[in-house]
Amino acid sequence: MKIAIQGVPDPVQNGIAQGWKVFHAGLLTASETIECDVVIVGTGAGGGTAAEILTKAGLSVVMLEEGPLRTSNDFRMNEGEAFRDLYQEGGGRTSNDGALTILQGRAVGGSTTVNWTSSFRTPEPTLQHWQSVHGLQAFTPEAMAPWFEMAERRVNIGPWQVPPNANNDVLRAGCEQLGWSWDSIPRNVNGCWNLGYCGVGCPTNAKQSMLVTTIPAALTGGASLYQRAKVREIIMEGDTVVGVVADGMPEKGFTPTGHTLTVRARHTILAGGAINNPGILLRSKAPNPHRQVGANTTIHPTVANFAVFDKDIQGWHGAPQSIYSDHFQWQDGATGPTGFKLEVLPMLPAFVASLLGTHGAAHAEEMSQLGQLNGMIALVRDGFTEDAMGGTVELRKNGSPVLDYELKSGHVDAIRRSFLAMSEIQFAAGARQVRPAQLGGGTFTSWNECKEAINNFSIEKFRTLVGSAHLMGGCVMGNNPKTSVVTDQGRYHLLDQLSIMDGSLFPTSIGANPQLSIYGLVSKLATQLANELAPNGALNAAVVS
Amino acid sequence: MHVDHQQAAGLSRRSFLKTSAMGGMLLATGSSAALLTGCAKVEPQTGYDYLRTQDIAVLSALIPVVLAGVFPTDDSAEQAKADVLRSIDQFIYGTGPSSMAAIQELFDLLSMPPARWTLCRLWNDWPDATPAELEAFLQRWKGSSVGLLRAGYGGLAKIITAAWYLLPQSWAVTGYNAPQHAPTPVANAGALS
Repeated sequence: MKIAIQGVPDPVQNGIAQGWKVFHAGLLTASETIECDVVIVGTGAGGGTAAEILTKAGLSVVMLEEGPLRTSNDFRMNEGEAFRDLYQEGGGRTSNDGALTILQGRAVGGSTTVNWTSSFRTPEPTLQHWQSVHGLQAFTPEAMAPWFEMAERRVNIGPWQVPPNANNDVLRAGCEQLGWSWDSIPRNVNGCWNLGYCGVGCPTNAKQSMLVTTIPAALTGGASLYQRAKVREIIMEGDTVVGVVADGMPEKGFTPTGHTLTVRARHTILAGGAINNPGILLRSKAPNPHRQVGANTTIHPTVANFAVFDKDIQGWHGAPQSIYSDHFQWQDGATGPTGFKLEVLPMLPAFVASLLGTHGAAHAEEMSQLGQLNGMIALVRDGFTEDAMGGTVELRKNGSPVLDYELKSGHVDAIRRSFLAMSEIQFAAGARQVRPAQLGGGTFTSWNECKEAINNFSIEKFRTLVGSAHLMGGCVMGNNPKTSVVTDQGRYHLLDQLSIMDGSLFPTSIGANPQLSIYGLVSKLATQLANELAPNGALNAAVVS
Repeated sequence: MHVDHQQAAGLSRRSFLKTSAMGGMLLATGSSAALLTGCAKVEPQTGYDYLRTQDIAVLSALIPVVLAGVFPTDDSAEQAKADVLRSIDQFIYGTGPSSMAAIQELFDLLSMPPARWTLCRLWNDWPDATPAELEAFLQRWKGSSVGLLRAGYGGLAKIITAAWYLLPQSWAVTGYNAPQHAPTPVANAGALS
């Protein structure tokens, strides 16, 4: 049966046709300077949320996005096009040594355009840890609840009533069999067709990403958007930030066009994510006496387990993530042995092929059984204990930011336990054959052999295949400038009129897929900023529709 | 695209090599490679945005081995190889200067006879290596105690397999069936809600 996607209106292209202020910085024929109240760098979960709130407060807002504008008419469910257009470094972003694969969005809507829609509030143990260890009193579960509620309403987050696809059901069935806890994943969708292409751009606009929610609302309210505007640096005048300079980028290639866009603003917000924000600050030589910019970057180091079943799985169909297990996440509290969250992968052919870590006959065998293959993942909760801290973002010689991340004893221990847990679940769910994604780690038909092998694995880079789709920290919040970059209001400790508003604020990893944590936190911070910059809520009443 | 390439080549050429215990030895080899490969060899082969002639020689040898079992062995193999090379070229070109430079280091290394002999244990040049010799090379790097060589294996396997499974012609064996997509003309789109 061939599914056909047709008759889906494209709300963004339609809005542009109706006069939204959407520009392409790569098409500038001369360098340009513009002015506004607030310039927002990045249009993902943080930038999109902030743009709507600040525009609705009556402020003139300019959004800058390094990546391209792609919309539902462009989303052809093609992995190659998605890597090239929608992901940082064309889907090839890695840590500085190439050991960790990093999936991060780079298009209008940021990672929300390509995420798998999993929507969790920041877990209470995480917020409590921020309070007790990082001294952040403003983010108690009670204080955050209304902001999460606001965000959940805004992007239609709710329980997913449709039965899980067979790939997710392996996680449910295995946990059920073993008596381990599991639950269904709330999703940010509206009228979802259950296609399975969240990760390559939703072709039906059901996913309530920033691309189809807050950004259209901001544009309708008079905000401007520049695509292909790659911010080089912030502009500092004394201790005050007065805007940014961006390079216009071409549709193809990575060489700036030579024409810059300078945006002068009363206030500057960086929302480019946990790797690009430190990159901008380091390139700008922003005051950084305690070398906190780029420090404490957490990534939920993620490992995978593949299993072959005797039944059809076809994990490319249906909501890619609908079941999770936190059975091993908080077993010994936030600071006990490092916990991990269990989920599954979308099983699109090139994505899976790139993750298998095999070649030749072994690879061919698994790919020819793609329709019977389950791909499970464990996301390790880093940044809570000394033995599992995050990494550091630094600049390459060419000025681009890159992550340095070491696997420490806490990570290694958690990865080993997660291989054991995933294998046990897959066997309990009836897998014929199980294989942790470890080079030369072996393929197993019995749980006992598998367990023994995993206990003897050498967990190390380039042998254990580790990736991340959750980039957090690097501009962390805190009260002490010696151990943090911004205040609990998201304001840069050592510069005026500069805020950070995205996942790079988090002082630890979240312990869950981070999008709702970003929406909730940024809703709070952007509302505070709006009250400060536009106390009457209608500074530029003319632009509010 | 020309400018991108020079930019890539001009970057730190050490990123791929710097973490390994054998880094010193390999860096020496790599530096010789950099000296031996003139500017001309930095240019992509005609019809490609990234891949150079020597990269294509390495990949052409490895593609049928890395994809053994699913890659055509009949008359269509040459065309399939060209399709995979083009797919690899576009994937790497899309990753930008930093990754392009790191991957180029790997190809520089593989193209140098001393490195091919010592690190790959391949006595014949890439086009002349037998499938069994190439398979032995892949297995040696995959199982190596040296992180750098495992990294090289992982990179080659990932690039080639991902590039192949991006091509619709690869999907039949997997059972994967992509939906059709018909964009809706903006003029006919419903009013913005």
